[in-house]
Amino acid sequence: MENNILDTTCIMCPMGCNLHIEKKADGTISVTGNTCERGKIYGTSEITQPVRTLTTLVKYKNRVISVKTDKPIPKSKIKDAMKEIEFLRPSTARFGQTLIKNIAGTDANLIVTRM
Amino acid sequence: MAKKYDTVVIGGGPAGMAAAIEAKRCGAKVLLIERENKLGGILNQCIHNGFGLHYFKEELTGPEYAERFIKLINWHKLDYYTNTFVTKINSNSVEVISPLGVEKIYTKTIVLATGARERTAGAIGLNGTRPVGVYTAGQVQKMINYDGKLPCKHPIILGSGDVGLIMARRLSLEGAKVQMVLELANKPGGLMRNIQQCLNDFNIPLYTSTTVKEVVGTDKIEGIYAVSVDDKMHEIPNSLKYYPCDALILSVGLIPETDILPELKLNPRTNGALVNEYRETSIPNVFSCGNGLHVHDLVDNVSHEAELTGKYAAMKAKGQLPYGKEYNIICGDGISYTVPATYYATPGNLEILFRVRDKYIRHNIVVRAKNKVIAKKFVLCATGGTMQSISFDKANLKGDITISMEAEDGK
Repeated sequence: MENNILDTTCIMCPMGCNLHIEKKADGTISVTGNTCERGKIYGTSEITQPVRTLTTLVKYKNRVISVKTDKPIPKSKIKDAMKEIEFLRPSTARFGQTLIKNIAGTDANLIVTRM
Repeated sequence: MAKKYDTVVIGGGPAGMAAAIEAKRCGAKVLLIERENKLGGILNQCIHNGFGLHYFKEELTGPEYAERFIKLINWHKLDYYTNTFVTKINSNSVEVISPLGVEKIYTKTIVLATGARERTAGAIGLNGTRPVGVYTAGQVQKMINYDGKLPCKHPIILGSGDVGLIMARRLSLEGAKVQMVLELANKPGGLMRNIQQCLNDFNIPLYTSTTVKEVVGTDKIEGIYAVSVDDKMHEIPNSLKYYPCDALILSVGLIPETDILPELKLNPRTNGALVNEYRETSIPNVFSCGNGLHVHDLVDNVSHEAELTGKYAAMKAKGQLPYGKEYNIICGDGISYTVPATYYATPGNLEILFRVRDKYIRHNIVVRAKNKVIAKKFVLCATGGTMQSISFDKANLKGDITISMEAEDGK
């Protein structure tokens, strides 16, 4: 039940509308408090499947290189993704290279953003 | 043989790189000088995403944004020095120190792209001892993202500026338990999306109208006393509370870096140089852009502003910059500051960047000369945290102009 009602702040623009999102028993989703269409889209995704781009570091030789998922992944997968990354020790790496394909079972790849 | 350039750009971050590239495109002989061992500036430690949505129309991380400009620098075969520190600026030269030694480089124009510095414990008059463990957010960002070291496990963050919020997320992902974020003001300082993605996602509490009363610890920080304040920033009696922590991370604002040229006239609101329409400072032939001029919220805006500055610096070096009669741009209702502060009565386009004092929903940005409306732009929402701009044709425009925020219905 707790996942069926969500009160949050819209992050699509600096206005920061207070959204009230409800998932009904029949699966329909209502968003109120939004000013524009973008708030409705954001609110809907926040209650169905919130996604985030993950950016972090990978140990490489004696230093760290920065990485990101090439598309946003479900928020619920971030912990699993971090576990996969923690033990990653690539032998070679270059800017833009894919280090992990389909990270944490998602359709996103982990790529190098800084050497 | 002494080196001679048309334009020397000081600082190889996003502003310096964009200014140097544009000056070169305009035909100037350009040298870019960077203190660190690589170009990119602060972008190199900002490994999070959210950069470039306006400038490149895609979402990039900081290092990726920098890489795009580094590629352009190499493509243009632009001269640049790294590991090089400017020690003095003269009227027609700069003096530098680098691994090669001390050198004097002659130039017609100079662009200051020196970025901003973080406010420190001293700058905010933080009470108590100064043990190990009191850091600025940018310091922690460098330790984690650049050196791969986690300096704390149970930090408390003071200030809800964006760098602090971003670091709350980074610390959490790297295994630290961020206990809380304290904010003196009655509303968060950073962007709403960062409150959501960096604090709420990780269940980190944010206490507004709360600040640090005292730091406790002799060698290493042991904890802090936090205190709540009322609307007038007076302490609320009996609200004092002790929290143990192994680090206090300060995210309490940035100040443009202008130390290199102490005689610069500054804008008291921004602490950056006071500049004319061409981003030229009170010292002729010295230009300023980026966070060294005024603190931006988006790097995309920095790139855009720096390109303009680079163009003007190149034109000035070639004696092509048109100066007309100079008029003031006055801050009217709701306007905190404008960049530039003046304009020239010459043909062309005038773009004014500014910040507002408050939150304005459904307002018009209105530019007036005497009582005549020169330009008008509708904004759904403007806050002090988001830089605004208005651009218009200034052909035939004369006299001081005033910019103000007006409610949509004219009230």
